[in-house]
Amino acid sequence: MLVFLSGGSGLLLLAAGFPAVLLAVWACTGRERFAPFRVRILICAALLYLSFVFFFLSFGLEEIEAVGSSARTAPRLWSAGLALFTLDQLRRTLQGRAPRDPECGDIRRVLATAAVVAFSLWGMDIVGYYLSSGIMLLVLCVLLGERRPAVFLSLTGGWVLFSWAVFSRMLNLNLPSGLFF
Amino acid sequence: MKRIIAVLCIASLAVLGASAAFAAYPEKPVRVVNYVGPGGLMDVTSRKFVSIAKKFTDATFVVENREGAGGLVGMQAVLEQPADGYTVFAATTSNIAKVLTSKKNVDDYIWGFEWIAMLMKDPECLIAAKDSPLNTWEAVFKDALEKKGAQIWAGPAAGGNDHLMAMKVWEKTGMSAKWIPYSTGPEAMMGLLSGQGAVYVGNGADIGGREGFTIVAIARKERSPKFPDAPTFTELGIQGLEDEAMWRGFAMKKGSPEEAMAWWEDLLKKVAADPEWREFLEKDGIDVVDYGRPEFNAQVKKDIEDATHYLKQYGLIK
Amino acid sequence: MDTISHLFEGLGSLMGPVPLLVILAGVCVGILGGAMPGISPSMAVALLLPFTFGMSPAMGLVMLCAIYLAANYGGSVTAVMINTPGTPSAVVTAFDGYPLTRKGQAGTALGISLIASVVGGFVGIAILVLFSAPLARFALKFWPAEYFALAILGLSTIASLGGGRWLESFIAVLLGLLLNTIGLDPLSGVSRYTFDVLRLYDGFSFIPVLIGLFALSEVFSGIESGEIGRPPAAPDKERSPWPTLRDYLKLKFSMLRAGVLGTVIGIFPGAGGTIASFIAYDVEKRLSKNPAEFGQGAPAGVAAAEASNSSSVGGALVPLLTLGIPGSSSAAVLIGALMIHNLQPGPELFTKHPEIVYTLFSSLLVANVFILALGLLGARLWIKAALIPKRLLYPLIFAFSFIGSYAVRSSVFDVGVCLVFGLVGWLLSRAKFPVSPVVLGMILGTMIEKNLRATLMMGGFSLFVQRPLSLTLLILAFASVAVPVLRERRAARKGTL
Repeated sequence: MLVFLSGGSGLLLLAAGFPAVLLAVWACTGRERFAPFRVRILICAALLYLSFVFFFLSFGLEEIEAVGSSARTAPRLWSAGLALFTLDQLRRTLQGRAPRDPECGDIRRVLATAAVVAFSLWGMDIVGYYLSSGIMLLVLCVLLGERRPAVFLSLTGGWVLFSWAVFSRMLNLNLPSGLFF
Repeated sequence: MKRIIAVLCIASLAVLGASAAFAAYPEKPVRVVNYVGPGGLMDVTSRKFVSIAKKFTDATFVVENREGAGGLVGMQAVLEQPADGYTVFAATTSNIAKVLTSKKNVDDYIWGFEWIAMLMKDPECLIAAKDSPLNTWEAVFKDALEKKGAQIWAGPAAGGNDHLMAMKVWEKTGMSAKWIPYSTGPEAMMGLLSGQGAVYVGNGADIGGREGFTIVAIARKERSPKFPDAPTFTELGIQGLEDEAMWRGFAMKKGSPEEAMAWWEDLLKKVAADPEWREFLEKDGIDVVDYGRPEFNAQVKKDIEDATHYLKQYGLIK
Repeated sequence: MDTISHLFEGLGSLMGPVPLLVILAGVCVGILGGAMPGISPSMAVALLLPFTFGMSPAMGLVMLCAIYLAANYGGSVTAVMINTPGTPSAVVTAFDGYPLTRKGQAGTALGISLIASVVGGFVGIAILVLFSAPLARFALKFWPAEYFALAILGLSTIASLGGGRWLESFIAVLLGLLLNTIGLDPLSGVSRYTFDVLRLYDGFSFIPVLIGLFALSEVFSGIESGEIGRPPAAPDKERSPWPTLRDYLKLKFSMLRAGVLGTVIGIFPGAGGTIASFIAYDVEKRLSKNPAEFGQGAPAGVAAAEASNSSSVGGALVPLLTLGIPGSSSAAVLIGALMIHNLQPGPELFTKHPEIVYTLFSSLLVANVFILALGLLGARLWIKAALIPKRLLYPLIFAFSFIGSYAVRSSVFDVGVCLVFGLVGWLLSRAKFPVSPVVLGMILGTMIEKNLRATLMMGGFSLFVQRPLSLTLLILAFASVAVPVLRERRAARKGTL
């Protein structure tokens, strides 16, 4: 099982467990007493999950006796330490001795920005660097409130030209190319 | 959608490939892919090679750096390209050991390449600090027996080329010692100077320009003209270590056009005879060679066999 | 005395149009490259390396060293203006430089970082020229036990970094250390937590993580807080935005202390320069009359960080020239440059080609003067960056961060890493977890693990206590963690009574 979990499909499984744990914690912290610390508790839960995964998988790490030193030592040390301090943090938080969560700001716009950026990364291998980064700049400018087409179009055009001239021509950087260029 | 794109790509590549086959190689820039960063050993070597090759050909070369995973990233980058002879991998011995220790498929990562041009042999050396009492092989060997395996040998990564050499020496002489890996060769040498280890395994070039080191044994048939004071293993009474070297060379993806491979073999013959090239290598005590496919492939085959044998024997792979 | 006369000869050989132009070009490229988010000094040097092949060995080396020195300064510009340290060692510059900019005092931050850079640069070069031989002997006293202790001393600075929240700092640093174990084990080569993803074999590269945690997380929290709508903090029209001579003089001891620390700790290969800047900052904070100001925009914090950062260039050249061992990743590229010109890095350079060494030394001095001149000119331009509306600046930060992350290893994977760490950094910092310990943990993780295990292989735990140097460093580290923690405990007890 350890071998399976350490492989590529194990990563998917572990990654799927992550939101499941967070959702469970989210559901448990709806009560009034915990609500102001919800995000903090969630972060602690995420860190605990992470340290647990690292500690657990460390048993699957290969031991090479000829080297005379185990690859398992450091991950176990760090993950145990992380779990210990996070538990202490969690204890303080549950007792109400921690800073409350900040007021939520414009979270939707943050997520929209992250989504645009992630989408452009995904597109980079298909349509190439110039097109995807150009579109990303354009959409981000509009999303963040620039309303003058002349401004955001020239910014985008300027960036594409700049990155081509400096990075591609001068520094010979091989930017991802796609369908067209 | 993706499939359509893939088909289109393959079609366009096929067209390009076909046209390339008709024209004389090389009709477009040749990319030389390095697995180390700029300024790294193989990077410097391939740039020097390219600059000298320009004396003999009008071809354009672009030296690229694809670092990562001890060369696996660079190897994969080349293998992902079409086998048209326009992407060349700049390889060293350490790539072979890396494929084996990271348990990658030898048929993909090593025999997915055609090994076309071997440039040099850099003899492996055992190096000690000059001022240390253990500055001859006899002293090192005696001390090793007294310490019963606790003597420290320093060098770069475990399972690498230099570690392999150490294992060969240990087996042939019946001694044992401890291998302490450092981040880089130079850091290991610093460790030697500060008295941490007894022996550093490396190459002659390592002691050039640095003070305080001496070669206690060199894995060559005869003494090196550059280091006439360094005894060979044979002189020290140790057999089977006459020809242990780190090589550097170029490889192409298997199935590349015959024309391209022959062109590189021919180019190497010319460069290997060039005095500037010879000086560049020989000043470090490196032996210049001009091996084409038959010799180079044989060398790689021997390296795989050796590495597998010793890595298994010392328990680094199963 | 011999050294001084050699130095003058070297200076003389530089007084022609061609050498001066070469240095000027190197400084220009270095500052611009360093000021570009994501281009670290070692990348700037590496990218320009091929251009020097056609030059004479001395000129090529002079140009690369000018780039190296200038890029170290250039990195502070982005650290100060947009919270994007270009190098791990510039992380510390952002601690106080960026808060100053947010308060509308970008001029103060830029001015101090420039002057501190130049002062630190001179200190580093002076120590390099005068004391490189004894320093090299000192470096040879360091065994893995001492390297481990030094890294722990660097880590111990986190106790004072989190602004009193030491528990959160510990969590953050352990997170960094844990993430650092991803990749091939540095000793045995066993792959750890790579899930068969080839790109993870070397772990996360620093630059994308750094940009993500600092620059992108700052952008995200700017978007969340609705800062895009607000006009940028306008500088005071009445007062000059630049610091006065007296402001600089007040910081002279901070700069000198940090410069010496930066050079001495910078000689150690690995993370010497980074550890130096964290320790220099920590020292200034402990010596300061109002330590609470640190992290909120303390000029002394910027001065200490930048002076130690620049002086570590001189430090990194010490082992390069005396032992032939690079003290930093940029110095490693310099070795390649020497090799391609058929020169052997190391002590033989002094005996066989002293003219090259002394030309190099004096060119560093000249480059430092050019940095001062160009930096003063440039600062007038950089300060305008504070006036760009956020709705245009933020998309540009994304564009720069991504091309910088990509350039490190030509990999789109790294760009994704940068984005993910941006989100992680945003989440952590809005929950009041400090992010800089994460970076420190990731930078020092390998150094700690390797040297800990190497020491255990060499002779076990007892080596740490038997060796006086390592024992001293470990006691120092322990004390610097214990003091703030105990003080907070005592304060908390008083508070509850």
